[in-house]
Amino acid sequence: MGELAVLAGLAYAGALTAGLGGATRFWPRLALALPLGVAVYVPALLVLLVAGLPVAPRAVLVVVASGLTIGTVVRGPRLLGGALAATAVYGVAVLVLDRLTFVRVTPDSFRYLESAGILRDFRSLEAVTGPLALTRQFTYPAVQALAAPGGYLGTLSLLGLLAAVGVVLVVANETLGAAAPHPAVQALVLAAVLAPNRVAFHALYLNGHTLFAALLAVIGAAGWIAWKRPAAVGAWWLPATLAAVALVPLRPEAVLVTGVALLPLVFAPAVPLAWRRAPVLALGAVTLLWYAGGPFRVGHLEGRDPDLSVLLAIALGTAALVAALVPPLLALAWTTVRWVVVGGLLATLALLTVLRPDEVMASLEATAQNLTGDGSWGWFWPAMAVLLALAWRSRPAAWGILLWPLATFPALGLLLALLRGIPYRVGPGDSFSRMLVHLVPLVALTLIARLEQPIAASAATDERPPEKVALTPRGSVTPSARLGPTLE
Amino acid sequence: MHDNRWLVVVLAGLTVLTLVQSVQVERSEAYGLTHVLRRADGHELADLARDGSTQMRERFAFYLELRPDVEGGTVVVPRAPETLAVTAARGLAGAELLRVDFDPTIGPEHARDLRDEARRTGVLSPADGTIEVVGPSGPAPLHVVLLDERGTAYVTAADQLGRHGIEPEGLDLDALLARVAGDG
Repeated sequence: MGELAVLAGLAYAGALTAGLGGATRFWPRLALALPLGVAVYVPALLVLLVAGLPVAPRAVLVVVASGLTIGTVVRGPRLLGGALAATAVYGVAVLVLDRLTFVRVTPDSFRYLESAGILRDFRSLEAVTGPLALTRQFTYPAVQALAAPGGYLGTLSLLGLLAAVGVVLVVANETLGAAAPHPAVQALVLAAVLAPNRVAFHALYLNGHTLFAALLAVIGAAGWIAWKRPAAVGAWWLPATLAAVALVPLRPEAVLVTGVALLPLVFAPAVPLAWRRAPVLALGAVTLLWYAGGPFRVGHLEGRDPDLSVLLAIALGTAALVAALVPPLLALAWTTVRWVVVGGLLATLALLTVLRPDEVMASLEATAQNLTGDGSWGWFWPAMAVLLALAWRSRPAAWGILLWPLATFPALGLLLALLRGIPYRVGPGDSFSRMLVHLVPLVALTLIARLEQPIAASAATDERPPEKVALTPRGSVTPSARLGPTLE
Repeated sequence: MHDNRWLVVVLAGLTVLTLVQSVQVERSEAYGLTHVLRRADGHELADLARDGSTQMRERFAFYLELRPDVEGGTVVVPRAPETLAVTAARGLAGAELLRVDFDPTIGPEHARDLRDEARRTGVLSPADGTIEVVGPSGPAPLHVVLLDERGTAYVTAADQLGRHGIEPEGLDLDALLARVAGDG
């Protein structure tokens, strides 16, 4: 019963947030309910704990949901109905899944639960040791801290995966409209990406990977919408911003991955500056809040020297804030930005390869083995890479935007191994092998988008000037607000 | 115009191949130390640990939640720097600390550190008097025996073991597991 109440509460808060953010239809609110519920609860708890207020996680969720309820009533009471319906769906899902599911545990799972127990019982970041905060971070323990004492939310991972699938289907169908592929084809795509053994494993694994996948899917989807159908981005920039806030304290690599994944949205020329600036501001603020108020501060209290990754994250957070506050930076052309990022990544990797060739080779060799069987993915990823490369020809408009987070991930992954100073290893438990599950929903969206039906396929390429939209006082976009041609 | 039929066909083939590989992985022992816990039975983990390999028992033993009808558990903390003692104190916050035995090489000053830090951070009030230092316990590592009002053992200190690469020497795993399973 506790798990039902907690997860339904998160879904309720998330559905309300989605409604307030402009998602007025039921399906988007249902798909976004859990990711956004996490994304409003986690920063609220983080701010209070960093401020030194010993608050109970469940109380924070209640207060957040209450505040959102009031806001919704003021904004439009009819939005409450959809939120309650979405909550009911999650409630039924938890009831059903709780009877059926198993969970998979590793020692990492217990360390997450240990951190969650400390947050729940001692209501203090200081009670979490520095290394524990650095490796297990905050988001997943904070969500698990909502469980009953000594317990855990066993259906969270499966619900996270289902939410990610929901985001993919909603975004694909709402963005492509009549050009969306036949439902049977969409089902085939989902079957293809959910087939690997590792996906099934992570759906039942007590860890934050599927939550990461769902949040990253929201960001990737928003970036695609910003180029494919900018008029619809009004309902997605806020979810993407909140998703970034929840992602940053979820895993150690999240600052880099989130920052790179946000770029297509941030540099979409047709999107109003305010909507592009918001996620950058949020990224910088939450990065500084978490790393300075969490691992850095706790490590300082324990007399530890700050970890390099903590200092790097604080530097990146500061850079994000500066970028958000210096408008010319956000006015750069996407073509320039992507080549700067790719060039910077490759140059950094080249430099580190020269300096630490053994580590690079060890990571590459282990990853090659993991991608061809030892990672328990089978040959899924090499096959998918070839497939997407072949699909590049005759691609629909803006399809390349969806490839951005997928194509940059290998370089980011290798960079992460070098930054942490520990090469990747052979086996399904390897970090890189586990992180691949974060990409699965985006792969599904990319394939469905590639299967766009000819009815609306234009001869446009990614470089075609996108439509422009204008920000209205209420933060929504109406057809009359369009300033330029559409892609449809 | 996009001709996507080839993509659909390839996807269908890839799905079948991936499913076959997925089943093969499931049937293999690729999971290593990863195991399935049946949620309906919260004690199955203890059974798994008891029946599993020695390596698995060692890795899982420290994370077992004790059953409410078990009066205590033992978490072995290595010879500890002060920070570890403080960590243990934090882990004990709010719990009814039954007893702390200190390794003689650590000395009573660390016991005071533990107590003082616990009180300074407010996790235990000075009036609690719940930290009882019973003196040196021989050459064995520091033992922390703790139990909160719900019968849940806190295992914060256990995290330190793996972090420092310290093997749980001296811990009678079988006895602990027997107690966890209610047999002892």
